[in-house]
Amino acid sequence: MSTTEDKTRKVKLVTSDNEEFEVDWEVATRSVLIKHMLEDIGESEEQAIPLPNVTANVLKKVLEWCEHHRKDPEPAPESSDDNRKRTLEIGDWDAKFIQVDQEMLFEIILAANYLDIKALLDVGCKTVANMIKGKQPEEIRKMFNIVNDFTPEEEAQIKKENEWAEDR
Amino acid sequence: MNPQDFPMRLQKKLGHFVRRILNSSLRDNHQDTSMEAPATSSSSKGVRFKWFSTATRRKRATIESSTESFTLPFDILVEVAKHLDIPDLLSLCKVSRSFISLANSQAVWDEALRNYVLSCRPLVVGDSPVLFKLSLQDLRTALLRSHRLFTNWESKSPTQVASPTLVTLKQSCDVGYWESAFMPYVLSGNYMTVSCRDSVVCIRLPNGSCITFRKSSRVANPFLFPHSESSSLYVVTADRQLANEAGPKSYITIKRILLPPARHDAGDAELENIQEIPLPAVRRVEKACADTARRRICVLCPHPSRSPNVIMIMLIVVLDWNDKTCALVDFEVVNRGTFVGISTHFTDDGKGLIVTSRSQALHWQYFDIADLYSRAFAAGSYSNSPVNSIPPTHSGSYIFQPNIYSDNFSLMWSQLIDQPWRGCLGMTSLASSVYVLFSYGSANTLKYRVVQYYITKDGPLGSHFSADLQTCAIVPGLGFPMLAVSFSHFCWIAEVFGPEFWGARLELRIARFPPPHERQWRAQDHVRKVDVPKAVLEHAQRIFLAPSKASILILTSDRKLRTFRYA
Repeated sequence: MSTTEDKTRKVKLVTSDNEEFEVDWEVATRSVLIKHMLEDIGESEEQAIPLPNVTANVLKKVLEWCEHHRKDPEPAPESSDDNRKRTLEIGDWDAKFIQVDQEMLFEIILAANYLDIKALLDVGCKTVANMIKGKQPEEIRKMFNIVNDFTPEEEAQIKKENEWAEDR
Repeated sequence: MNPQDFPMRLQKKLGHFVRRILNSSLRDNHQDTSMEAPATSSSSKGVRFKWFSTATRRKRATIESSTESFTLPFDILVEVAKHLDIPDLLSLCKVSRSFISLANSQAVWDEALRNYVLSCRPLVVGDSPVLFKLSLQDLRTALLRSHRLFTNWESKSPTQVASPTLVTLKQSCDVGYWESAFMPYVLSGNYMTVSCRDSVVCIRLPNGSCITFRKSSRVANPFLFPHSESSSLYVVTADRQLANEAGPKSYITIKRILLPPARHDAGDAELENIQEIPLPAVRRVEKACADTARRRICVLCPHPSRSPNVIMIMLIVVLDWNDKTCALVDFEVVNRGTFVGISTHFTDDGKGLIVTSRSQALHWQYFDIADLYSRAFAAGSYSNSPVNSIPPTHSGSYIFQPNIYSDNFSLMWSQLIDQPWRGCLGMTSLASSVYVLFSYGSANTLKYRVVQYYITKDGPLGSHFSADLQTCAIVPGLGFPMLAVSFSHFCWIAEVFGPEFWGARLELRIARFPPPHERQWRAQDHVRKVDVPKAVLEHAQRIFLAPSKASILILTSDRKLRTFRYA
């Protein structure tokens, strides 16, 4: 198929709660999963792609991101990134986009992981990392809904192990 | 529906959603101060949205039982943890058992190491300098320790952690005369290798014993490369041997000395032959660099050329001395500049070889090791045809501009060089920087400036950092500043003039280079003074920086080598 056809082509997506979305081919193929599915189906069929792991409100959000980043170049291969330090900086638009409540944030991350949208997954992970930054263990437990499963002895042991490294 | 309307429709639909998010999100994230948390949230899912901030214990309990979507799978949490710095990783360890395994996974600490080193912070690894071969436990310990030392050092009033250690160099250790101010020295674990005017010396730091190799003849020029992991010293020489009737032949020989810790005078250490690699013709080896962990050597030989104004340089790159895989690179150095200005470095990631030559400008060449491998052959199978040279993967020429508003630049160093810069102080592939020392001022009050350039594969990016050293103590007899540079720091002995005392007072100062791409860096905020007795500074002959030990080594005229921790 030619690229001009690609640009005008539409893709139908069906979420787990049976809502149907119709989006540009270019937008949908930000997701490597959908891209591969489309390649498997071929061009002839006007078949809707089922996304059983994604709900409509999450997909809306993900598609909003895909729409904004539709013209982004393909992510560079891993090796070219070798000498660059990971930073927690997020682009302005992405930062605004990801200002959602935590449940939605996690859902977006899970969806990005499932749909294989590396850049969006990265934005999500950075956001979570930013939330963890500077937090006390108790606050992190709350954030991730984790129960403290240490015995008091273990807790004392860990504290002792890390004491010298933290003492500033 | 009209698909073209989709984004508009989406935004419309999302409108109230986004607004609600803006109101409710991150309200207990105290890093986020830009947003004013609303008094109420009217959303129907309000409790769920704000559960982590205002929910009471009871409410939280219901959510815990009702949703599982709040936790992220382990592999995604690993991706998150890769973005965290060391103190946050420590916090993660205290969260729960499952988070301990998360925060202690190899991938997370490998990434922490990468981030740590790339942000130009010194890694204090003690006696095991091969960073990428550390066990997880050692890696973690090294990073935690480095972080602590670094935090201390970056604080406004750092404490000097350890008292200085003192080593008296044995008489056999002839380090009285230094070849040049930018004399190469290699520090590895407990060994320091220095190249002096007429010898190469390997000093074992804990007790000061040393092995001296005299540069007795022009052909047998030893190059020493310590490898502390195996406690051995590799000696690379280029020997001319009258091999057979075909005439003299040259070899690169690689020998190894095992350095037992108890040996006090290793001067009679036995050399174990590792490999002999024949050279294509009789060659004099002028320089060498090695990557002992990967068994690589690169030697530099001048090479006969047709024109007297042009010097040909041949690089013989031994890619693996076990199987004698070699690649030949030759290039011309046009100009009167000599090969003295050429230096070679294997990059730390093992992927490249950088060759810099100095003439009118810095000439920069980057060779991809994979490229070299594709053109490699077994040593010995040289053909008689001219060298089939491999072009560099990247190259370029750079004129360094010192950005000093003074027309009185000193050209003392070499008459051959019409540049106001005195030398390429060092280069590191980790942080990809080149440091250039400029001198300015008049002949009796010389001032110095260190400028850092970032290097990409294509060459230097331009200077982002410069520091004025003002006046410095001078290396006796050489007229060079008493200065040492590592990838993260540089230190020098400053001459301080003040109204409260007569003459100049000496001070050992250390400053930190900015992390890559850090633009808002004021050199004066990152200068620290190291407490060193006055007598030591007055009799200092050379100073060295050992980043892996977070130390500055000062050699004084009474043959004592003192180690001062700077963190």
